Amino acid sequence: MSDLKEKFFQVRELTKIYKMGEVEVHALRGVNLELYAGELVVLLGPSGSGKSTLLDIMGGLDTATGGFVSYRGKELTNATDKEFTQYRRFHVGFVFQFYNLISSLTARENVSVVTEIAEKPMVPEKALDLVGLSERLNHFPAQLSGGEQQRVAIARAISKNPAVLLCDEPTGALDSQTGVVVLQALERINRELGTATAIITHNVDIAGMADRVIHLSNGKIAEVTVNKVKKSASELQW
Amino acid sequence: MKALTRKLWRELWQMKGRVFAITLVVTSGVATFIMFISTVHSLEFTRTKFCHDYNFADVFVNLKRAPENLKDKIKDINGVNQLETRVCAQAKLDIKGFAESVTGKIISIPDDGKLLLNRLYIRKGRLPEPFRDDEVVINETFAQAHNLNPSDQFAAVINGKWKKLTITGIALSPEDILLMKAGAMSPDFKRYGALWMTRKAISKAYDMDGAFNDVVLTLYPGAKLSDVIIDNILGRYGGLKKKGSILAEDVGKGLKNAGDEIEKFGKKFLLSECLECDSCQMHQLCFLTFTFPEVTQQI
Ligand SMILES: Nc1ncnc2c1ncn2[C@@H]1O[C@H](COP(=O)(O)OP(=O)(O)OP(=O)(O)O)[C@@H](O)[C@H]1O
Ligand SMILES: [Mg+2]
Repeated sequence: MSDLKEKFFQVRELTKIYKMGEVEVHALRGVNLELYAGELVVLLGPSGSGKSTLLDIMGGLDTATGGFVSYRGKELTNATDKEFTQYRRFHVGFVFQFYNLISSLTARENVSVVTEIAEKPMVPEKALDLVGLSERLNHFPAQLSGGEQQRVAIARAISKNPAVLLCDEPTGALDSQTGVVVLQALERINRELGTATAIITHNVDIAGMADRVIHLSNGKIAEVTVNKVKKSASELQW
Repeated sequence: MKALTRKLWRELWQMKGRVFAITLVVTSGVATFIMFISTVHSLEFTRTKFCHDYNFADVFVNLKRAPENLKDKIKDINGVNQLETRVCAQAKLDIKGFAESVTGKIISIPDDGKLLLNRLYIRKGRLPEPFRDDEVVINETFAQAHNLNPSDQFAAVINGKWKKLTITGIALSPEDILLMKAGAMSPDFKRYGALWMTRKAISKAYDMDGAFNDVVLTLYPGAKLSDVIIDNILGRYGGLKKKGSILAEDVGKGLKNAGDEIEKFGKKFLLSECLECDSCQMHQLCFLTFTFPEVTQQI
C-alpha cells in the first residue's frame, strides 16, 4: 500500500555526532527511513536512542553530521537558513511534550500566532474544533488542563495545514485517559486532513494505532513493523 | 490586533506596577538630566553674555613698568581691537576682626571712571570719586566673606604705607568670577579679594605716574594670539618671560597643560603662571586669560 503513496521523507545513512569537548556522542549512526504521505508512524526506542534527534533533523530544527534527508524530493541537508525557515513555517507542524503555549494569550490567540503568518491557514476556531476544544476558545492556558493545553498545541501545529506533523512525546506529561483524548485528536487530523504524522513515544501500547512502527536503538533503526490491523486511539489503554 | 501585539499589551498590563515604576524612574532621570543640561546651558549663556556685555578682555599682560605712550604701539599690532592700560598691585589688607593675612589685588579704574574692558557691575554703592585716593570698590564674594558694605572701612599696606580705605561699592567683574591666588587650588574668598581704586591713587602710591604695569586687550574676531606678539614690544619693560617668552608655542603648551581648567571653565579659562623674570630676579605673577576668538565671534 505504501508504495503507491508519495514518499514525503527519504532518510539515507543519516548520522549525527554531538561534540562535547573531547567527547563525541553518536546520536545517530546511519539511519535509513521513508515516510509516506498520509501515514501515521510511531517511533519507539529506549531513552537516548536518537528519536528526538531524528525528528529534529527531519523537522529542520537541527542539522545532520552526515547522510541526507529529502522532503518531497528536495534535499534538506544542504538547505539555506532561509529555506529552512520557509520549510518549518509552511510544511511542518511540531508538537512537544511540554506544550509551549503563550500564557498571556487565550487558546484562540495562541493558534492565531501561527495562522497570522501561515500561507494557507485554517481559521483558529476550526483548528480548535478538530481537537475538540470549540468550547474553550477564550480560555487562557492556566485555565486549561494538561490534556487541553496539549490539544491547543496540536491545534496550533495543524492550523497552518502542514503536510507533516512531528510529535515528540505528545502524551508524555499526561495520564492515560487524557493521553487517549490527545491521541484521538491526532488520529482525527491524520484521517480527516491526511496529514502525515510521526509520533515519538516510550509507550509501546500507543504503537497499536500506527500504520508502521519504527524501533530505534542506539542510533540505528532496529526494526520496522507494519500493523496489519490498526487500533483506534479510543481502544488504547495503558 | 495581531496576537503578538496583544501579548505585548497584556503582559505590559500584567506588570503595570513595575512598568509604572520604571517609567517614573526613567522619566525623572530624563527630567533631571534635561534640567541640568538647561541649567548648564543657561549658565554658559549667562557667563558668555556677562563676559560680552562687560567687555571681558581676551589677552592679559602683566609687566614691570612701561611708559604710557607705548599704548599706541600695542594698539597698532595687527589683530588688537580694544586696549586698556592699568596699574595693578598686590597689597596686604588689614580687616577688622580677621586676624589672618589677607591679600588684595588692586586694579586701577581710569580717572574718568569709565572702564573700557572688564567693566564692573556695581551691585551696591558707587565707584570711587575721581579725586579720592582712599575710596575703593571691592568684589562681591570678598565683601560677603567679611560681611563688608559700602561705607565700611578697612586698612591696606600700600607700597609699605598703612592706609585706611573706605568702601564705596560692591562689584562683580568678569575678570574675577573665580578669584584665585596664584598657586591656590581653590578660591579663598576670605583671604583674597579684588579692589578697584582710581588710577591716580594707585599711580601715586606705586610711583607709576605716566606709566602702566598691566595691559588688557581684546582681539578682532578671528585674530590668533600667535599673530599678536606683544612680547616684542613689552619684553624690555619686564613684561613676560625673557628666557622663552610667552609666544604662541608657550600658550599652546599652556593650553595643553591647562586641559583640566578648560574642563572647569568651559571655553574661557584662566591660566596663571609663576614666571621668573630675568630683570628683577623675582617671581612675578602673570595672568593670562585667553578667550577663543571663535566664541567672541559668535556673540
Ligand atoms: N544537544 C545535545 N548535545 C549533546 N548530546 C546530545 C544533545 N542532544 C542529544 N544528545 C545525545 O544524543 C543522544 C540521543 O538523544 P535523543 O534526545 O535523540 O534521545 P531520545 O531517543 O529522544 O531520548 P528520550 O527518549 O530520553 O527523549 C543521547 O545520548 C543524548 O545524550
Ligand atoms: Mg527525546
